[in-house]
Order: sequence, then structure tokens, then C-alpha cells
Amino acid sequence: MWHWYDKGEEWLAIMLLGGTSLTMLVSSTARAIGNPFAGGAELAQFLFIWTAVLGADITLRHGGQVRIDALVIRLPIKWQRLITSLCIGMMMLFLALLTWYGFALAASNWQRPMGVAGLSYGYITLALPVGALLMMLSMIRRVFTNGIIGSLVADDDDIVEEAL
Amino acid sequence: MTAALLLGFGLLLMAIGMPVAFAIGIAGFSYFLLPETFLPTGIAVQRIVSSTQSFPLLAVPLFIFIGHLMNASGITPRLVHLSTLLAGWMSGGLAQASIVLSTLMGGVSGSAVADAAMQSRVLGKSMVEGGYSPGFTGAVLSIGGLITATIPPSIGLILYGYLGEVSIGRLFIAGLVPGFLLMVALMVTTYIVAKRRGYQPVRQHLPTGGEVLKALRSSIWAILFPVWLLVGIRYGLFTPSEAGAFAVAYALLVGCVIHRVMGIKEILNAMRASVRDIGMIMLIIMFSGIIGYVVSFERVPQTIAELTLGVFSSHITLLLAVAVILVLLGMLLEATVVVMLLTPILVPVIKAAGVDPVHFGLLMMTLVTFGGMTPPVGISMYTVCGILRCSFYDYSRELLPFSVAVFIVVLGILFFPNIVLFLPNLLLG
Repeated sequence: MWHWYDKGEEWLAIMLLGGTSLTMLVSSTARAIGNPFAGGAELAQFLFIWTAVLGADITLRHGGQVRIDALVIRLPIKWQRLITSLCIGMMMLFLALLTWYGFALAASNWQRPMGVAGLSYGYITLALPVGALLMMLSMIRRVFTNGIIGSLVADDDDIVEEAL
Repeated sequence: MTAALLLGFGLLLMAIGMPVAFAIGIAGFSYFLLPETFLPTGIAVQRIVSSTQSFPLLAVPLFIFIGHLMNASGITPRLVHLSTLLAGWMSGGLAQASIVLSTLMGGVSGSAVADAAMQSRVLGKSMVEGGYSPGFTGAVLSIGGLITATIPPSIGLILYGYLGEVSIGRLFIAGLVPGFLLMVALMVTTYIVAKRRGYQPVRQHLPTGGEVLKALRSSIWAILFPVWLLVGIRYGLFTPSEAGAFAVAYALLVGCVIHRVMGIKEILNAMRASVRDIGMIMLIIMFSGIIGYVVSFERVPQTIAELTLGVFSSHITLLLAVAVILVLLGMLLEATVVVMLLTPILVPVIKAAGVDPVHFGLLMMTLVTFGGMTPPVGISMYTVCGILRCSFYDYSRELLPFSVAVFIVVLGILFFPNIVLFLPNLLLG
């Protein structure tokens, strides 16, 4: 089940990145040949914020969000577990607040069109609460699969290395 | 005062191992929860969303994507061949070649860490087998990334330009001369160390004109890339974000059609890696949107400007003091984080002191990127030492002569702004 969820999310993020690049390419080309079309930049920004939040979630789920562990790893395990629990608790609270206020903001932005494209600004705002919700889910899964201390540590997977 | 407490709180959270994006976000968000804050909490959320809605910022995902695409497009082995040909005949041939390679890669990639990681894999092993000490190998491969990050395109300079409202085109062009100066300084250092230790050249003789021409022809697509990028920006054919879009198409064309080494699988892998990098950097950018708002709401830049302009009589002493702070912070924090936190504060301050923000941008990026190569916290250092399995101690000791070379270049840039500024002034007026 989770396997398909992860795959789906990654494919969606990849398509969004492709969409952002393609939109930018088409609108830049149109502008360069003196035939600019309205709303290209806005569409790109809409696709981009969704790429960013999905990417952030995928990275979080692989422990890839940068952190400084130089001090923590020198503490006894008991302390490490305590401090990391504190961090995770605060992160979850923060994400919950973002979800709560984010949905409220998206609802109030629903009537607000962005620029000339006519797309509702609500679709853009929605990316944040949805992203926060996904990250909460990923954080919980991570604690279950990797334990409290391991939840923030980066996986040894080679996707990034393969591409280099 | 409140802002200083919040920054302190954020640093404390980072110190206890919270991911930096969250440490910054939580510190900024807590401002809105303070009892004396009359701002509605919804503003914090709004700031996170609006920090992504910027046209110049679109250059960031595009240039990250290009970096990964270029690496998969068959450009790397061609540039390795070219740089070995150009510099392999000197003492410490492979090390010299790696510095030239960093310079050439600088034109297609904008990330110091990516460059250091790639070089450790491609050149690191043969350097250690060739008798170089692992510490020296790590140091030279990691410090070369500094050139890559300075020569356009540079992701750090895009971020600085976006946050400080400085022309990214000017910053790009301004990066060329410091990049080449760094290359020369690092090559001279390598030469001195190699001579003393008897590190041998990898080629017995100087390359012939024909050989160089042949290698140049095979890597022409990589070398042309920064040229048309800068020409296009100079003549206003495209903005840096639009250039990113054309460059993606260019990398696909070179990889799939011209070099014929890239297929759907390689493209998807590059996209997968890009999505992760974008997710990491963008989360920091989004969450620091809150703290940026707090900083300007509390009039932090103005306060600091008033204080410092009273203390420092000339802008040179101000720059020197700021440079010391940047090196220290760069050693402790990730470069992106320092740029995100300090650019909105420092740019107004140095502008008030009469320093050109393009000049300062190059200075700041060089110093904080360099911080990523030094202990105690340095992503480049972790990456290179992890791949080469060299100890941090050996690495740090071997890094010392290179650090001196970097500081000489930085001081030159600091005292003579025209080193940085004459090229953008000449080309862009």
C-alpha cells in the first residue's frame, strides 16, 4: 500500500517539475519571439510550489532535510532519544498549526484570482496545508520504521548518487 | 531585541539537531504566538506561501535540475579528459586537473557540494592510488567546489540576488573574474605542495595544439553553455529564470541527441534527484519567509545599520568585520541557511555604508561556501571524506594551505572592488 503511495507521490512530483520547466520554456520562447502569452509565469509558479512541497515531503521521508547532528551524536543514547523526541514533537505541532491556518487561508483566498491567468490563488495557498499534512504523515511513518533517533537520519539510498 | 531572541532560539533548535528548515520556521512562527504580538497568526502562513511566488526564484529549481541533467549528459567524462590534457603535465598533475575541471564544471553546474561529490567519485580513487595522501586528495577536491560555485551559473548567487533584490545577471557576470582568480590561487598552492612532496605529473609532456583542439571540440557543448547564457542575459534575450528553462532544453538536446548517452531512464533519475534537492532547499526558503518578515517588521536592518555606521569609520573595516562573522557562521551553518538568514539583514546595512551589493554578494558567497568545506560542520567536507574515507583531521590539516590561498583572493576582492565590478560595469554599464 505505502509502496504505491510513495511511487505515486514521486511520479507526481516529477511531473510537476517537468510541468514547471515546460511552462517556463514555452512562455520564455513565446516572449523571446515577441509573442508573449499571459499567465505563463503564474502557471509556472503554481506548479513550482506544488513541486516544492511534494519534494520537501519526499526528502523528509528519506531523512534528507539538512540538520546538524554534530552535537547530538555525542550525547548518551537516553539523552539523544529525549532531545530528538522534543524536536519531533515541536515539528509535529508546527506542521499541525500550518495545516490549520493554511486551510483557513486557502478558504479565504478562494475568491482571489492570481494575476491574469484567472487561476484561483486558493490552489496555490492549498499547497502549504496539504504539504504540512503529508509531512506529518511521513514523520509518523518514519518514527515507526526507523525509531525516534533514526527518524531524522538520512537514508543511504543512491538515487542522488546515481544521478551524479 | 525580540528578533535577536528569535534568531537565538532558531540556532538553539539547530544545535540540538532539528532539521534547519524546521528550526528556522518554528523560531519565526513563535513570534506570532508571543503575547505582545498583535499580528494575526495567519500572516505567518501567508508569508510562507508568498515566499515561493517570485519570478526570479524559479531559477532555483531550474538550475538544480540542469546540474543533474548535465552530469548525466556525457559532459563530465569529456571535461575530465580536457582538464587532464590541459593541466596533467604540471607537478601534482591529477590535482591540477581537478581544479581545472572545477572551473570548467563551474560553467554548467552551480553547486559546490555536487561538484565535490562528482569529482571524488571520478578522480578521487585514481588520485589516492597515484600516491596522493587521502587528506590532500579530499582537500583539493572539496576546495575546488568553491570555483564551481563562483563561476556562473551559481545557485548561491541566485538566492542572494532574490533575497537582496540585486540583479542576478550582474552577479553572474561578476562571478567570472573571482572564479578565475580562485583557480589560479589554488593551482599555485597545489604546485607548491606537489613540488615539495614529489607528486608526479600524469602526462610526460605539454599537450600539443592538435590534442587540445580535439578535446576542445569534443567538449564544445559544455564550454559554449556559460557563454550563451551570459550573452543572452547581457543582451536581454532572457532573464536568468528564463535562461534556466532554455538551459534545461539545451542539456536535454546535448545529452539525448548530440552525445547520445541520455535516455528516459537517465532523465527520470535526474528528475528524481532534483525533486529531492528542490524539496530540501525550498523548505528552508519557504520557512525562512516568516523570519524574513519578522526581521523587517522589527526594523532589524535599520537598527544594525545605525549601530554599525557609528562604530565603523570606513566601509573597509565594516566589510572586514562582516567577513569575519560570515566565515565563523559559515563554518557552523550550511551556506544556504546563512544566506537565507543574513542577506535581508546585511544588504541594507552595506548599501547604507556605500558598498556595492554585487561586490558584497561575491564576497559573502565565497566566504559562506568556503565555510561548508571546513570543520566542524561542512557539507562538502562530510561528502568528500565520506566518499574517500579520509579522516576529518587529515583533511583539515591539508586544507590549511588552500585556506590561505582563498583568504588572499578574498582580501584582494575586499580591498579592490573593481576586481569584481569592472566586468559587469563594462558589459552592463
